[in-house]
Amino acid sequence: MLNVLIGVCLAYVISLFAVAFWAERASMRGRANWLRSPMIYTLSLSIYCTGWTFYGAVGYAARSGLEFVTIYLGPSLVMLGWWWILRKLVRIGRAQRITSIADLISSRFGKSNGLGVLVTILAIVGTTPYIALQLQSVTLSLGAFENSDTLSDNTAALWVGAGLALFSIVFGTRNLDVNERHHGVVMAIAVEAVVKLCALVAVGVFVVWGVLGGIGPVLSEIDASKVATWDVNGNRWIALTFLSGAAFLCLPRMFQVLVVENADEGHLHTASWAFPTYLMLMSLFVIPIAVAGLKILPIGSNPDLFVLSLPLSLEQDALAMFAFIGGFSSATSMVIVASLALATMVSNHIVMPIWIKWSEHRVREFGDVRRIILISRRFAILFIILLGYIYYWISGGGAALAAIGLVSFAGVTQVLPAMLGGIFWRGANRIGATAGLLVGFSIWLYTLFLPSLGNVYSAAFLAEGPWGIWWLRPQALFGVTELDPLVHALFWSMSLNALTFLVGSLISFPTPIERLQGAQIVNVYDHSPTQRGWSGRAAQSEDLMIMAQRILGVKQARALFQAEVQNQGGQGYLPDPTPEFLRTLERELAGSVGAATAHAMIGQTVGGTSVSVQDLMAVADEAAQIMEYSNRLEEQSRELTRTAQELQSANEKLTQISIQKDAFLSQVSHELRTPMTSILSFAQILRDGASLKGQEQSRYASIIHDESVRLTRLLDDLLDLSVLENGQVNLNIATGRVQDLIDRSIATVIAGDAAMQMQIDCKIPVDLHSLTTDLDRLGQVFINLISNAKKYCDAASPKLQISAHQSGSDVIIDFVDNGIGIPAQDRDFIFEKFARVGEQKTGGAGLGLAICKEIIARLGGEITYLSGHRGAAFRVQVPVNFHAA
Amino acid sequence: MKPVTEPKLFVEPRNYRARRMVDGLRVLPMAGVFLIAMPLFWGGSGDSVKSSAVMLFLFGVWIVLILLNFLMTRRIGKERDWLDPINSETSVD
Amino acid sequence: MAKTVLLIEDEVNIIEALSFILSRDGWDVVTHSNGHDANEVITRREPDLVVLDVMLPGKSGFDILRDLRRDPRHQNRPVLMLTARGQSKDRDMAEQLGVSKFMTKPFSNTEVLDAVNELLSR
Repeated sequence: MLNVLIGVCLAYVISLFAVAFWAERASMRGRANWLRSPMIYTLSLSIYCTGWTFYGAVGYAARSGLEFVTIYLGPSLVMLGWWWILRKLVRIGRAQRITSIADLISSRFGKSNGLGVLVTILAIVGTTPYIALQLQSVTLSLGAFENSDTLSDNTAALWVGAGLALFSIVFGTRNLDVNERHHGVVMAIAVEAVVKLCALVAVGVFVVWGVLGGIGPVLSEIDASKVATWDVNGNRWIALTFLSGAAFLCLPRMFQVLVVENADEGHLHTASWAFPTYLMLMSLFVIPIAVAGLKILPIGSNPDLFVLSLPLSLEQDALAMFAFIGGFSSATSMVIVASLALATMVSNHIVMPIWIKWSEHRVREFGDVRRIILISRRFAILFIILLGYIYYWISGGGAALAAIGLVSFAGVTQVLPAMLGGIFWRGANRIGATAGLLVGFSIWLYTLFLPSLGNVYSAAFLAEGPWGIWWLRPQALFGVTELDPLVHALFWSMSLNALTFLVGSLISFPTPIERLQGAQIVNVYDHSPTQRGWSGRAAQSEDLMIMAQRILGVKQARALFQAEVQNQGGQGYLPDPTPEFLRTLERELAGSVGAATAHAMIGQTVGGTSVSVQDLMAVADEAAQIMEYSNRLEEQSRELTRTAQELQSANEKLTQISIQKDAFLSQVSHELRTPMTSILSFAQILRDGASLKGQEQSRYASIIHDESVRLTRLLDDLLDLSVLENGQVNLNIATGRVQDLIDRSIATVIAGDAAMQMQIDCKIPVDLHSLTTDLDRLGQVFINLISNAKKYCDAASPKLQISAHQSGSDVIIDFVDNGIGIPAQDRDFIFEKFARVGEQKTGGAGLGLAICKEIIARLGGEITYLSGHRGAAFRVQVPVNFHAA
Repeated sequence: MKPVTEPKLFVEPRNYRARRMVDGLRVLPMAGVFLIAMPLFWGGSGDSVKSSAVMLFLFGVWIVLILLNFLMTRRIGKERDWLDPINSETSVD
Repeated sequence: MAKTVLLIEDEVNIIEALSFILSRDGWDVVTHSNGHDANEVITRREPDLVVLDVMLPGKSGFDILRDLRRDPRHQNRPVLMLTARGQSKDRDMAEQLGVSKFMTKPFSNTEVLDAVNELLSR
């Protein structure tokens, strides 16, 4: 019998290998679409139902009635409420490329490896007994077939463990997929899920209709059994429902199949009703089988083995064999996935960091890391299964082990506050999560795990507490004695865990990476599209557009995209996401958010990939640069203010120039029209005038002549000024003595007015340097100044003194008369165009000094009015040698 | 390239329906917790409650919850593109 | 008795030309050549017409006109304004201040005579 059994087992295992192998092949050939179907996903979730639940549920029901159903109700509620938590977990898992629950916690709290290690250790401690439990269930079930000790329990367990390790290594670590998805394993598990459900349902159907005779008799049998009355402990009922639901989310193997192996968020839609259905079917026949076992089998039979012993005792060997295979499936699938999940955690959070640190200064070859990861995973799988075996071996497979299931649940559930807080609360941080986990884990160890081992605590310790401190009694913390030990431990560990987590997060401050990750994970829906809803390139562009709009602003983003559409010669407003465009966009975004962030964002949007560690590190570096950057910004803003001020003053100048130009035109108009008026008027008089005296006629003609001369002079001056102001003047540089120049100028003035009264004194030093400059232009200035003195000097005996001296490389020539001079208020604008002093009517247009000023400026000198003299005093200062500007 | 903007009047009611389905889905597990805890309050007068009755009730609740979830999830499945903020924003704009 | 025209103008040649043509036409012409006391001169002389230049030393023709129109005695006194600044804004300004007629230099003699005749409605 045993040989047959082992043969069937081997055949079954070989067929599983074949299924897994075939699935891997199909997946590699890209024909794996149906492998990723929602049903396969749902079935893979069934690893929740382990060997312990397969056999143990009936035992549980036989001992305490309906309470067993909470183990299935909790996960059902979680699945039914998938919109709350699972949807977000799955989305985060894909967006952040999460590889395990330890990775989730570590990622969320700033890629904290400390937290990763903590969760990994917690998971190993929580899972090892559970693996031992599976080994036990297999050996126990073997024992149900053969009462003789032909095969020792330990040997059987060792063989089973070795087989499972081989399977896990072959299919779990064959390749290294970025998404940590294992098609072969998932497929094998799906097959096993179907097998175990069918096995249990087959036994159930056999019991209900074959043994008890239908549904009606079953109900009456239940009423007649020892579990007929509903007398569950309310606390336990609620606590166990919560615990199983929480464990469903937190168990490493469940996280693996729920989140990591999830290929499409849409699979949750199916699983959300299909998996509760699976669980319901798994539990549907538990009570009937238990009741039938209690009724038919001899008193003292192990209720945990009713599933096997019932068909055996009724000589249904084939059915018993099927049930055995079902139980075997349950146990093996759990061990495979659990060891795989734990191995991932161990290699990613413990081995890799150590290896990277150790090989920091070594040259890493291509593929080196990959090899190390695979090797470390294989060893981790062996290590974990071995650990489970050792645990089984040491504990002796006694009854103590049976209770370990819920204890193990309570242990892994300590991750729940950090996980839920992490995905829903941005304020959660690493300090809080670490503290909460440590507190919860310690309380769990103290109040539940150690007592569950049997004789760790002395009776006195349990009754009076450590050192007699009553409120530290392991099973009555703070004097709470009325709770069931499991509920007690769960209550204290979870509440203090959550409280510590909360308080720790509130009082400490997260690092930049933590905050970034927190935002990425809590707001995961804002920046990670659903996979199926975002097919096609247009949708990708749209995603980019939304992101660009958020960062660059709607207008600018639209302009950018529009330009690209035109560039690509397309239509609409979304361009194709070509590599060129992506680079352009990344540059644009980098200007706003920094290069690393921009790269990460584009990567996430386009590739559906998440922010990598390198990206995050770069972000952190950018955060460090913020100080410098803000300094630069301040500098820029100061510069901007300066520029704005300059612009404003430039604008004022322009306005002034425009006003001046208007005034100038108005002046020119006036100066031209005035002589024209006289000319026109007298010309008409002469034309019409028959009765004019000869004297009048000649007088009027001379007025016309004078005004014409005035007009001509005005036009000359204007032209001269215009040429000077525009810098178009051609200077005629020559060398000559100042004395000669002044003599010539005086002579010119006298030539124009032979009757000149004014006396001119010239005091030019004999040794004064000759000037090298435009002598004609300079002479023009002198003539102007002399004739001004002649015109305006109102002294009784007008006198002009001209003196010159050298000052450095300049020659200074002063013109001082003995008149009343120019009033102080007028001195500022005598060099302006059309400036006239007082009410003098001299026939000049007031351009003379303006022209002088322009000429002297051209010659590189300066003309100023000298105050402090009694009369009008002008000073001309020009360089001895003219230098072209 | 597919046209990105779709007729708004056509989208909105479906969007609305899908959102109400999500509300229903959110309430479902709470209703489940309440119903599962209900047998704890049965038989206060000292009469013992039969396990078989509780079992039938629980499995009944279970099936009803699964059916409700199946119906609502199926509705959402058709409208899922509009349920994420990132997706719905593009249809608003 | 012939009507009096007060000519306020600072350009001597223009004064001479205008005096000549207005006298020849039979008007009594009085001249004044600065802006300072122009208003007092007008008040004293009570001319039937004031011919006013704009650019005057001491006080501009616009200011003289403004003060004139504020004075009840001169509110309706005809004022012919002549200016060499031929911009439209000057014309607007003069009309706003209540000028009787506005002419731009250079002018033809007949134009001036016609304007004077019209203003004195002979």
